[in-house]
Amino acid sequence: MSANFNINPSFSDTPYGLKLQQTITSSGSVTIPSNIKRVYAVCIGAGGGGGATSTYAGGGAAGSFSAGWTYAANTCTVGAGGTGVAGATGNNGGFTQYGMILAGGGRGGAGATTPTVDATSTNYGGSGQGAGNGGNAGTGSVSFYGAAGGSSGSPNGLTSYAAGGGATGATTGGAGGAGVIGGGGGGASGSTGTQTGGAGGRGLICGGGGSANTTGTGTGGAGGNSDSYTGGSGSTGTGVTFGAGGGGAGYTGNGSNGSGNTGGAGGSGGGGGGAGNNSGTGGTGGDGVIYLYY
Amino acid sequence: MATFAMMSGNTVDNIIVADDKKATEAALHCKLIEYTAENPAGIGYTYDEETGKFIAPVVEEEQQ
Repeated sequence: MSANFNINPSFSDTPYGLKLQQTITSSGSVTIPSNIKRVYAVCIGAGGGGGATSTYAGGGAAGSFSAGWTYAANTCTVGAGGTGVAGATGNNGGFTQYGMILAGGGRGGAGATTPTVDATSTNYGGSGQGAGNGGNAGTGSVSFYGAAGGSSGSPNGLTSYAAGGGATGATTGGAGGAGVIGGGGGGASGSTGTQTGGAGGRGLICGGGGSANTTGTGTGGAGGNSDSYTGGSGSTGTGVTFGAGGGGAGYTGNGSNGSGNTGGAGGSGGGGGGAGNNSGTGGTGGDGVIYLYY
Repeated sequence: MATFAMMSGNTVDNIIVADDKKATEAALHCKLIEYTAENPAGIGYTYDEETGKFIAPVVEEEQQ
């Protein structure tokens, strides 16, 4: 591949001849001047929540990116980040919509159960979540631009527009795939010795890190980094009270660090939440955002 | 800013952020129910009006 599309800044440049007029972080009414009939909208879906189990889990996937021309709408929907739930797969992020432009939420990191298919019909164009205990990594979904989703990890998720999630690894969890929308990192399955959760996928919007749960030295996977923002680091230390994953970088903010058994929150603008471990809670995904140019 | 479940019947259709519940309901022509970290909602959850709690969907575990 000659073009490193996953870090290409043209995805976030101001469209030529247009000016950023509104940055919207809350749902409701939108006021557009009456002489403006068409708007160029950038929509970012919310990130998925990190998974959590009594042992290790997968990181949440990044929210989706979608952009294009639409009619000037007078309402919008901004997705909320998926919450992490103790002992379960993280919740999917909410979708974000303005006019005809819609960006799906990221999938929640896998916990003790595996959604074999996406549990929601609204999760359009998402990347894959990381694998957890008893769970498989998710594959990326077909993107809004027609690119096929990346495959899930073996161990690492594959690069794609909407990248796949990382698999569970014996001592190191698989990394989430890189992409415009990064996949979540997988958990590290070993219960003794040095264990490291998989890193979240790098991209324009990034996945959360997987977790580790060991009596030895455990380190949660770091959230994925973008060119502009950094993912949170995983918590590290000796014993099962450490090992949660960091949150992935969002389109507009850094991911938070994992703390003890609690996964770090995803960065604002769709970052995936870090995975929890040892009955902790996965981090909440970053909320969505809308940019309007005209 | 608060987080709300956007309802379709008693099932959560989307989760959103909003400043004003009533104004957002009027703008989007929908029913919203606020959720919190103590009573989290997710897409596909149902809402029990008697208890005021959101209930996660049952997901069948895949054979490994």
